[in-house]
Amino acid sequence: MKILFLIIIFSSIFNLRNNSQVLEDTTLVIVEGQDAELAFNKGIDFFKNKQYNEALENFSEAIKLKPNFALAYFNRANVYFELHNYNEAINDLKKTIDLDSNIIQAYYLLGRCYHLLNNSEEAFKFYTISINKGIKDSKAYYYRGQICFQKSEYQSALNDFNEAIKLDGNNEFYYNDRGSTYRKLDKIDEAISDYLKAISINNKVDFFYTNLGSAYRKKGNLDKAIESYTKAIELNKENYIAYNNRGTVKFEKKDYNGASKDFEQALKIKPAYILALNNYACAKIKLKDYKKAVEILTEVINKYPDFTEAYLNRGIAYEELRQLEKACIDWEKAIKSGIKEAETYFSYDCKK
Amino acid sequence: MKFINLFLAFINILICNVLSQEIIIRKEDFTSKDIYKFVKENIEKGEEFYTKGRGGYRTALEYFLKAYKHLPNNPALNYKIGICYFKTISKKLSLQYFKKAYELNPNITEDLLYYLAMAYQINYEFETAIEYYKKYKSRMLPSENYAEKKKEIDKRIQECINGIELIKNPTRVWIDNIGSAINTQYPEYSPLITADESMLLFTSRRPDTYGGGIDPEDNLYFEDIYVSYNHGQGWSLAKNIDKPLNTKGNDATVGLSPDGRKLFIFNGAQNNGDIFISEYTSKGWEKPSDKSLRKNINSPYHETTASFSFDGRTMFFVSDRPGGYGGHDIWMSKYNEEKKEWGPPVNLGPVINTEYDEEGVFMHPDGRTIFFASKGHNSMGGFDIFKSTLNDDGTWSTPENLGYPINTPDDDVFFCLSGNGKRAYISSVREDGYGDYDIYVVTFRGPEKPPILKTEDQLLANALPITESTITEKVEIKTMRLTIVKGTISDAFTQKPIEAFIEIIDNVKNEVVYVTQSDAQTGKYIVTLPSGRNYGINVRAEGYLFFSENFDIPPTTEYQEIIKDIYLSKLKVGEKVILRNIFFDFGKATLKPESYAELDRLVKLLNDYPNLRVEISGHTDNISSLEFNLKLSEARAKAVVDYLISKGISQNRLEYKGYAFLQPIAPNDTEEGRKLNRRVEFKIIQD
Repeated sequence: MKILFLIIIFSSIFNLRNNSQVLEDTTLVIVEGQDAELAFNKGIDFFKNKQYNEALENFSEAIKLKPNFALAYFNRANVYFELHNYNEAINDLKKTIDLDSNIIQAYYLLGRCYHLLNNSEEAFKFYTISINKGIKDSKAYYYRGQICFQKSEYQSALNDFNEAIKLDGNNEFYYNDRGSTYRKLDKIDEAISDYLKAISINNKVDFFYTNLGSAYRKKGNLDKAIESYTKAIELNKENYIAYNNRGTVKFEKKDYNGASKDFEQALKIKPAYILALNNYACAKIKLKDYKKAVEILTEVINKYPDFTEAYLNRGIAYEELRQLEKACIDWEKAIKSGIKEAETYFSYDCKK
Repeated sequence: MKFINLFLAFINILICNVLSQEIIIRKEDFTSKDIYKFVKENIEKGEEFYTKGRGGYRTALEYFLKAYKHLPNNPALNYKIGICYFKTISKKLSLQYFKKAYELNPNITEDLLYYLAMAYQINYEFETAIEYYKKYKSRMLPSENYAEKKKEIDKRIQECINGIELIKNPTRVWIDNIGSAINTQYPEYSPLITADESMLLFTSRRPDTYGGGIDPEDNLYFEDIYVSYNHGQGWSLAKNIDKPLNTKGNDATVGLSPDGRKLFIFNGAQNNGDIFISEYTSKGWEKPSDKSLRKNINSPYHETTASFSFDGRTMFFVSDRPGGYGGHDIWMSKYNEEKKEWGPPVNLGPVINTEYDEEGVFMHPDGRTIFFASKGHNSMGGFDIFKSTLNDDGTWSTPENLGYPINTPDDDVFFCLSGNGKRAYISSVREDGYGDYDIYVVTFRGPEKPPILKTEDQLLANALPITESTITEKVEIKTMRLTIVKGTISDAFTQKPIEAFIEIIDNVKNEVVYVTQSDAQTGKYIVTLPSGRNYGINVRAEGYLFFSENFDIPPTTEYQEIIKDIYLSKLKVGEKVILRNIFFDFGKATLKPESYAELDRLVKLLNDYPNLRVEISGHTDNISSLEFNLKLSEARAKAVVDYLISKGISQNRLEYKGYAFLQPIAPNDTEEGRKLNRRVEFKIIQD
């Protein structure tokens, strides 16, 4: 089932990952002695048939025969891109731009390569150049929007996602990501509306429902949240995120047994899932099984000493067990990690 | 009159008549003559003690239980055992006997149904209790006080409804028996503590009661006052506090000032119950007196509990005098310094007082939170403890039930709270007790602490999930707004403890708000300062220079405890005092009115010791230039001297000088240090 899930996800977003496109030179008239052009055209045919190694050979041949053949560089960059050889692609794209700065797609693809190499700064720069040079590809806006989002520049992200949607109003992922941006901007109604739009385009993507559930939770509509998470789980029985999130909503509804079951299920799918372990312990606190809570949180802390919320939570369990000294030590650690709530608890229970 | 009897409200019942119904036994119902004889004897002895007060019920119960082994199905015996349990300590145990009596003969007494209902209520079985109260009410025949009885039953039903609500949300507390140093098999109740929890006074009825007498009213030892200390190593073994607080009769603790130096005592022998005061001096506790209370506080009515305000200037007390809202009410009186007596009382009003009894008043040293017991409001049975806060406009907030498990369906009367508000001391009958009423410590745990949950979402289509924290609800934990300053006062040279007078001054109002003393033997002192005032503290002792300290405590300051050991210097040339309560306008040499109280103390010192010549010196921090600060510090010293001259001190006894920042007493690199350096001192240059 897990394999099926991955196939759905990746096939769904394939259109997003399909960033490469070779360019054909329509002005190219092949006359005798134009071996470079012949190789170039062959390369294109191979590329279309996904015979990338053969395509690579032919574009290289074209470049060898005609070292200033900008489009050959560009096309070879696309082949490298498909082969995930982004550094080689970058070299060829830079060469392309050197030879012909009007090939706008080269800037976009440069951005893409850097993006996939996790160099957001360069990626942002080249997406922006491609946009400034007038590219009409929604993906340039979309990916730049993602970089803005990850930098927490949500208003800029929103502007880019808006542009992407203007250029392509039928991409479910654009709506999902814009919905998430709205969520970050605390515009929950707009977020819900975008997630619903994404689902209306493609109702087979489970994380659209997970995101929708989280937006409903933020809105305080806990029943709708549970409904959405449940839908996500129906689409993908292995969706541990949806189980974990549904558990937190049940927790909020004071259904601590129900929450426990969801956290247990998340842990069954992903045994070391730290968020579910922490949350499971929180449910145990509410169910007054403080010893079990301490046991679980100690496991969390041993595995992930930087997971600071676990210290706050274990402190709460210790306080319930009347082991105040241990509680105070844990809250002190939580305070050092900037958890404000720990300061309140520490000042009440630990200050002499 | 015993103090404790005033509070056994749950069993002071209009409806019931425990004298009814004799236990009738027949010889033929027993397998042998011996058993018949045994049962008969025990029943007769039981009957003899039955109705002789709490002690009597207890003895009767022992005999009845012996008879019960051979006579388990006698309805009257079951009823009387139920009554004995209900009238003594283990009220909960009465239920099984009332139930059985009812099964065997529901008509054995008129009040059985009512007792059964009460026993259910005491056992937290509120729904069943309501059912039986209703059943009892439906069978009531019109009688002389029918309306009154009906009202009593309706009240009980309402208590059960309150109980159902209150136990849904228990108060987060730990309740611990204070331990064997304090508690015994005998009753311990009415605990009183100092604000810093270093001393505990309580009432007990033990064989070592002064005079060793037994109260014929209930066959238990006379009430006496006991004391225990806690200096960080736990409570010391409680001791009978002895004469003059204890007498051969009933002596009970009523109220204690936060510093533990003034005590209200209940004297049951006078006027149906009156309040007396004793003060702790260098010779120990004074003989209790009601001199200051005679005119306006004590009356032919019941005066029972009382509590001092933090400054000892106001007392809150309980009385059933006319002019209240019904039963015992809480009243307030202010001390008249000129007449040396407590002034005419004022009823605390209908927000606090109800048509039912209010009792057990305790005013917290924060000066704004009052605790009291009431049978009214939303009590779940008998007396419950309530809390109310004095609003800024002088009104009281709606009383709040302290909730289960502090309150129970039985009587909960005695309650006092530590200065920091974290621990209360109550008396209660619980399963882990040593016998009868015991003293318990309630630790307030604050609101429930919500844990932090974590979620994540795949917010962006092709990126890693992003985590978020969720916390279900925010908690606000409030502590009492109070500062406790404590420490010892000793001779700066010999280090020996000094009995010194401590005056707390409201600098803005220029009035002394409280006067206390340090202990002659230990030099220990404690003062409680509610937040929201600028306090001057002045410490003086014969032959010593006074000591001055300032505590400016903003209204929102939470609880804090400050240890301040004070060393007093003898009056001799070269000794100096920092005048901490002299304030100037910023950057100027204009004295603020808040300084007058301190300046007037200086005037008094100079008048008391006419040979003294002093130098007044001004000091600054190192902000601004030396030149500027020299001028400023000298101008400020001169302003003080001018004030003293205006109050009649001869100019030739006074010198002034400005030292700017040339004599710092703290580093100038922190605001705290600079604050300490900005000061006025006086130095003796001739004695």
